Parts: sequence; structure tokens; C-alpha cells
Amino acid sequence: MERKRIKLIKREVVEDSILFRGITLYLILVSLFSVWYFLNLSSIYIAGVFLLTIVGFVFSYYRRKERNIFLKILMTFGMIYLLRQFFVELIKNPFDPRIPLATFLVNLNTIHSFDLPTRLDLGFSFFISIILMVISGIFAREAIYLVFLIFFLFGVIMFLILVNDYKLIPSYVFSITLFVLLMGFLVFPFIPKNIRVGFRQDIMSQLITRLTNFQGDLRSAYAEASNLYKLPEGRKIPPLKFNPEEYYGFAPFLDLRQRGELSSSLVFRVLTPWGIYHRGIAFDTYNGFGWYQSREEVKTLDTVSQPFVLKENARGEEYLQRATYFIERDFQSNIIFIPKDTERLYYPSPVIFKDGEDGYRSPFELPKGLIYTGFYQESYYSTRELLEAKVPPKDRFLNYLRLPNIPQRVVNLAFEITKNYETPWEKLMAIKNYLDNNYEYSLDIPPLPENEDAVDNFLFEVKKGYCEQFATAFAVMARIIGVPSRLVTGYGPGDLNPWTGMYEVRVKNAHAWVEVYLDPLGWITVDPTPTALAEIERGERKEPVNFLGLLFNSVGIILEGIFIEVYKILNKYQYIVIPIFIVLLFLLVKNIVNFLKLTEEDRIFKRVMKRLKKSGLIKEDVSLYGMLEPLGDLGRDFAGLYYALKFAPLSEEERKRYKDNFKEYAKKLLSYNSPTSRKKIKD
Amino acid sequence: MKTFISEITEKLQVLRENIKKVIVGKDEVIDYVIVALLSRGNVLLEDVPGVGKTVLAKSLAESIELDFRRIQFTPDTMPSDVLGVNVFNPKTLEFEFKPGPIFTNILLADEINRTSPRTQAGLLEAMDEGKVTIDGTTYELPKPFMVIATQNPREHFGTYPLPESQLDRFFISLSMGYLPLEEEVKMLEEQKIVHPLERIEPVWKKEDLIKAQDLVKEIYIDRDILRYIVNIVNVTRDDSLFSLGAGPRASISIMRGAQAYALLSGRDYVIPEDVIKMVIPVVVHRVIPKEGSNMGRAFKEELIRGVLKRVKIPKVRL
Repeated sequence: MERKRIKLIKREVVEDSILFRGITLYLILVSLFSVWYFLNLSSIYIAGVFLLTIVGFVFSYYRRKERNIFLKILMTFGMIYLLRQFFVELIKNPFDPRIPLATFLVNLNTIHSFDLPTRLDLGFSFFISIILMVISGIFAREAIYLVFLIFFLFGVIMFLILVNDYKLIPSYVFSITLFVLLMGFLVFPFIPKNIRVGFRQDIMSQLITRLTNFQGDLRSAYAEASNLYKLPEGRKIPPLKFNPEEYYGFAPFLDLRQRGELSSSLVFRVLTPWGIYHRGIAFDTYNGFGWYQSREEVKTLDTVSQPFVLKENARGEEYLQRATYFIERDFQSNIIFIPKDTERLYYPSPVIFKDGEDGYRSPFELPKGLIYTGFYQESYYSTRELLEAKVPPKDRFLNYLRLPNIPQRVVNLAFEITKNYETPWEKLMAIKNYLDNNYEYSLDIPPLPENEDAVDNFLFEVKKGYCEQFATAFAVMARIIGVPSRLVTGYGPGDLNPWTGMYEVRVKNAHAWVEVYLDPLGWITVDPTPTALAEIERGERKEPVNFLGLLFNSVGIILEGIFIEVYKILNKYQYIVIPIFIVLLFLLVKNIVNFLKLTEEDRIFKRVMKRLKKSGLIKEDVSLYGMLEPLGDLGRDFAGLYYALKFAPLSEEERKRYKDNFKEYAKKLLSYNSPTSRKKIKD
Repeated sequence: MKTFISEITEKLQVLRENIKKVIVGKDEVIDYVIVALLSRGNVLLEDVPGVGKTVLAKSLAESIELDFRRIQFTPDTMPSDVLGVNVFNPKTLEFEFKPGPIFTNILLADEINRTSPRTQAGLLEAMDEGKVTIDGTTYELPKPFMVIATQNPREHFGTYPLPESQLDRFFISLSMGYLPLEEEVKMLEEQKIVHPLERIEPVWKKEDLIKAQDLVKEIYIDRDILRYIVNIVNVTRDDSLFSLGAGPRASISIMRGAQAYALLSGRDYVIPEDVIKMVIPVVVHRVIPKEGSNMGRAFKEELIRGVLKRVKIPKVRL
């Protein structure tokens, strides 16, 4: 008995087009490259994947007509194994599933490229590449992602054209490229990055358990020598050499004698809802030429599971703001920069340290690529609260009121300024206003002479200075009038990059300010530096070189301002803007696709008709002959040829001849455009 | 095929010129009648008397060596007056069939709306099926066969207006209308001595016509154009403008007419212009406007032109 052969699976159409496969491969390679770049995957791994994918594509192309049941079975086993690996990885990394997901997809796609793809299978590869692109987009913190995106979109458009069987003509490539560039620029800012609590992406990098001998001591570029300056004879030792890459405020001793301008290299990117201060370290003791912490003991905070609880929740979880830091270069210090009043901290280490001034330190120097997140409570005080606040009892805050031998004229000045005010807050504000009005912000100040008090020198001799001078003067004068105060160093908000939605904080954003203690409010931040942030942030652009430079600068500033404003608005209304944007994008793509669908004669025809319509040579009519009637035989023949190209069953040869004729007529009609020639036609 | 087509087209030009000699200033109507003849369709002429309907039919018949008959319908015309009758022959003692005037090539059915519905139905059924059945015997009508029926749209008293189902059997309906002033003067001049109809000479043979009729069916028609036709007809159906839309027979007629029109223009393929040309004469007698159903033909034509404007010409991008 003959057994009937049953065909179980209908074989689908095998894809023959090399171009189509090529575009798919291109898309996959671009997305792989992007994933490698933004997820910091190992280069050897990705090189292997590249090689295997290309080999897989070549292999599948040459064997595309063969049977591949065996291969499919092999691939299935491979995929199941990968799935297992994926879950294992997932359990290891509960905070960030994206890297395992990305590697899983990459591996899956590598295996898949050995399949003998039909059109449908290539579509699968296409979607994987899109997912990879999205993942790397979420990871991307730099505007360079735009470049990847543009390359990718270019491939996407090509793919869509081919998958819909539209003709791909080289002359379109230029307009496609242009379109892609435009789209890329438009799309990138819309990738949502500013997501608040609840969505646990990018909360911190992988746990670092590397052992160090740090026991909570403060590390920095200036750490070793700066302990000497705390001693009374420290003043005799000259200040350390200034390093424009390292701010000297992030050291055990803040030396007010140092001078120099900081560089603008990037330190970290931070995702915050708006610009905030990033608190680093606070000092309680002033010795006439610098600040240091008098208490060296630290508290150890450890945790089994993240986050660290730094403070009891004051107002409720829903008031917490999120600040995620992406360290962009190796730090020489172990200070953890976080907003003041951070309550929860996700930090990738099992232990951190807290010093006496509410500063936090890491057991290792902050490496490049570190990610950590703080959830903080924004402190707002009403005017009434501030005015009713009282100076706390002295005995609890002795070290915040201690002063070295301050020249009498400083003390007199402090009392002079504040004598007309009642409450401590009013007095503090009077001091701040006095500093604002009478002293100039300047990075160019002479060195501090030996044996002179830094505050006295600033207030009565130099009369200008930068944030340390202002902050020190304010802190000292607050202590004179009896308000506990301490000096804080950290970073200013930095510049918002509208493309990435992150604030970029540079070395020159390093800043110093003051915290004062008032009952019952606690430590309150006061920044006495006049127009501090504007000056610091715009410092770079202060000296336009020439007229053109000035012009470009101002245009740049205006554009940036517009960008930032637009970005803020868009972000605020993103649930309205994004759908509208998608609809517009869809319409645009539809139009472009429609345009690409046109054949050459369509485009010629369209152009001729447009021109004729403009010069009023065309009638309104339902039929084409009717429209072209005013042009007589010329119009009729032109329309006839166009119709023939569209509706007649022509051989190749005939088509060519008709087309040539058609072009000739089109040329004739286009040249008959001036009023004189119009007359000629009518005759 | 190509050479054959140009040959036929040339001959059609000759035919056209020949008829034009007799009928002045009615080029479009002549074209439509030739198209109807090529498509094996029947024509309904809606006109007041004396605009040259008979002359048109007669000159067409004369030019192609076709038999021509004319029936003037009156309220008492019987179906047998048209189709024929069995007569007892006393010599042979048998019934003999006496064919009626319908046994001809071109039949002019004058004022068809003046006769009873029964006679109308008999005639229209015969012209639709191409044969006549009398007392159980079927007689084939000669080939080619075409009916040109006329009715006076201004006359209402004592008429039996054709029902829609009967109107649907007409391939196209035309209106000749009065001549422009100058043309009428020309016509008078030509008829001063002798009617041009008497000078007309045949330019075609019957076989030529049958050949041309067969060729029409082979004219290439693009699928997009077929869709275009259906789209147009469809708009008349679900439009709020018409209480009765055109049926599928209208679609077929437009297609066939467009093919014939293409042949007449010397093409072996149909273009949207052919379709546009055919829509009004094919559709106009098959639809009833929702409002103003008692308005004249010009009103309906305007409505159909509106329909044409609403349907996009296929493949053409403006």
C-alpha cells in the first residue's frame, strides 16, 4: 500500500532579493552596534555576533531553496537554552532587566539569521532590530544616539519601501536621507526619559562588591596633604597646586587660598525633574583661611536589600522626587553627590558611610559608568515659617558657632548690617542682600596675603570673589549674629540638554553655599553668591571673540532657550503631543510613500499639469481631454500618450518610444509658458 | 491585430464622413449611434419631431447596405403588427408565417411611448433576445439587428411611458436637439434641390460590420478602468441624489461602449476618456433623480456630471 504524502506545512515564498536581505542585515548591524555602544557590552562578544550574523545571512541566502527541518529543530533547542539563560540572568539582576533582555534578543537574532528566511522571517529580524534600537535608546544619555538613529531610520525607510514592493530608484535616496535626518532630529527629544518614581529603570548599576580598605575616610585628589592645613601652623605651608580638573572643595580641607578656573569637562549626567543643587560635603570649622570637618567619625550604613534609608519619610512617598546620576568619568573622590534631604538611596554597594555633616561617602572612588538614584524631598518653607523660626539653644551647636580670631571690623559690619532687623531670618537676608549689592562676582582675584583673614580680605580689600568667598563671608557673619551655619560644597544644576532630557554637570559647575540652622525648620540652604547660577553657567560664553562670534553666540543662546522651553512644554503635555506627533508622522510617511509610488511619467505629468494650471491654460473639467482642450492637439496628444503609458498593453519597445514622445511633449508644454507662447498655442 | 484595427478605424472614418454628409452639425450623435451599432446595442432617441431622427437611421442603414424598416406606433398597434403573424394558406392548407416589420437590420420604432405596454413589451423582448416566438415557433432575427426607438418627451397626453425595466434594455439614449442657427441655414442650402439622403452611397458591407462588432470585444480594457466604471455606477446607487440608480446592465453597457469608442478613436485599448464619454448616454435614462424627477434630460445630465466629478480617474495623479 502506498502511503500518501501529506504536506503539513505550506512552504512560504522564499525571498530572493539580495537588496532586501542586505537592508535587513544593515538594520540588524546598526542596532547591534548601537546596543554595544550604549549598553557597554563586551567588544569581543559583539564582534563575534557581527561575524556570526553576517555568516548566517550569507549561509541562509545560498541555502534558501533547501529544506531546513533539521536546522529548525537545532535552532529551537538553541532558543530554549537562551530563554533559560535569560531567566537566570534576570534573577541575578532584579533591578534592571534590560541588559539580559538585550543580550537575549541579540543571541536569538544571531541564531535566527541562519534560518532560511522567507519574507516573513526577515520581518521578524526587522522587529528585533527595532526593539534593540529602543533598548539602546533608553540607555542612551548622549546626543550621539541621534547618529545611530539616523542610520537606523534610513534602513527602516528602505526596508518599508522594499517590503511594500515599491521601486527603489537611486535618485530618491537623497530625499529619503534628508527625510530621515529630519525625522531623527524630531524623534530623539520625544523619547521619554523623564520618568519619575514607579518605573524602575536605570535605578542603579550592577552591585559593586569589590573590597577596599576605605573605612569612611574622605578620598580626593587633595586628600593626602590637606590634613596638614587643618593644624594652626598649616597656614605657613603654601597652598597646593591648582588642578583645573578637580575642585579643591571636595577635600578634607577647603583651602580658600587656591586660585584658578575649572575646566568644562563633563563629570556626570543627572536626571532630575528640574535643576537642583547636588550636595557633596559640608564643613563646620573655619580657621581663617579655609574650612574643615572637626568630627572625623563616620556612621556606617549597610543594607541587605536596596535602597538605603537615609531619613524617615517626612511627607509621604508621593512627594519624593527622583534624581538619577550617571557618572561619566572616573572620580578621584568617594563623595556621593545627592540632593539635600535624600530619603532613599539606591547605591550599588552593600555599605556606605555618613559623616557628621550629613554627607555620604562611598566605600570606593566613584568609577565611570556608575549609576545611582536618590529619592529626595524638596524642601519648601513659607515666609511665615521662616520669619517665625528661632535661633536654637547655643549648647547644641557650639561647633557651628565657633570662630577663629576675626578682625573687629568684620564683627562690627555684621552687627551694622543687621541692626534694624528683628528675626534671625530677616537678619540673614539682610546680610545676603548686602553681599549681593556691594560685592562683585569674579573669577579673577588676587591671592590671599599671608596672615590675613579670608573674610576680612574679601569684605574690605578685594571686594570681589567667587562662591567660596561669598559663602564663607555669609557663614561667618551668620555665626557672628548667633545663627549656626556650615559651608557646603557640591555641584550646581548644570545645563539641561534638550536632546537627552538630562542635566549635564561639568567640573566648572562645582559650587559652594551655606546651610543655616533655625528651629524648628532644621538646616536651610542659602546661596549667598549673587546671580550665582547664571554667572557660573554662562561663564563659558562671556567673551565673544568677534562680531560673527557674537552673532552666532546670541543665536545659539536664543535657540537653546527656545529648545529648552519647547522641551519643557512638550514634556509637560507629552500625552497630547506624542499622539499628535505620531499622527503627523504617519501622514508624512504616507505622503512620501505615495510620492515614491509615482512612476517617472507620473512625476512629469504632475509637473506639467501644475505648471499649466498655474498659468491658467487648463479648464476645470471631469476629463483630462476636457481640461487640456484649450491647448488643442498638443494637449490632446500629451494626454493621449500619458493614458497610453498607463492603460495600454505595451511591449517594452513601444513603452520606450511612447515615453520618449511623452517627454518631448512635456518639454514642449513646459516651454509654452510665457504669455507670448500662450498666444502661439491658441493660434 | 494592430493593422487590422487601423484598417477598421479608417473604414469607420469613412462611414462617419458619409453620414455626416447627410446630417449636419450632429457629429457627437453620429459617433454615439455608430458606437451603439458596434456594441450591438439599441438606441432610444428622446426628441421632438422633425430633428432628423429618421434621416439618421436611414442614412446609417444606407451606408452599410442594411435593410431598414420603420414602424409608426399608435395606441392600437398590436404585437402581431410588429412581430408578424401566422396566416392560413388555403392553397397549401397550412399556416404560413408572415414576418412583421421587425425582420430587418435597422428598425426605427417611432413614438414607442404611444402604443400599449403589451406591444412595447413584445418589441423590446424581441430586440433584447434577438429572436421572435410566435405560436410556439421561434424565428431568428436577421444579423446585425438594431432598434432605434424614438419618443417625444414633451408629449404626455395619451401616452404609455416606458417602465424602467424596459428602459434598461436600451443601450444608450440620445437627444439630437435643434441645430444651431448657422447650421440650419446650411442644411436648408443643401436641401434646396435634392435631399442628400438620395445621394448617399453604401460604403460598408454587412460582413464588415459583423467583423467590427466582433473586434470590439477584443479591445483591451485595464482592470483599473473596470473598477472605475463600477465606481461610477455605484455612486448613482447609494447617492442621495437618485431614488433609482443604474443597474449592472449599465456597467456592462459602459464597458462595451467604451471599447467601441476606443475602436472608433483608433485605439486598441480603453482610456478613462472613453468611459467618461459613455457614462451620460448610458446612465441618463436608467436613473430617477430624487428631487425634480419631472425635470428634463438636461437636469439629469447635470447630476451625472456631478457624479463623474466625485469619482477619481484611476492611476492619474493630478
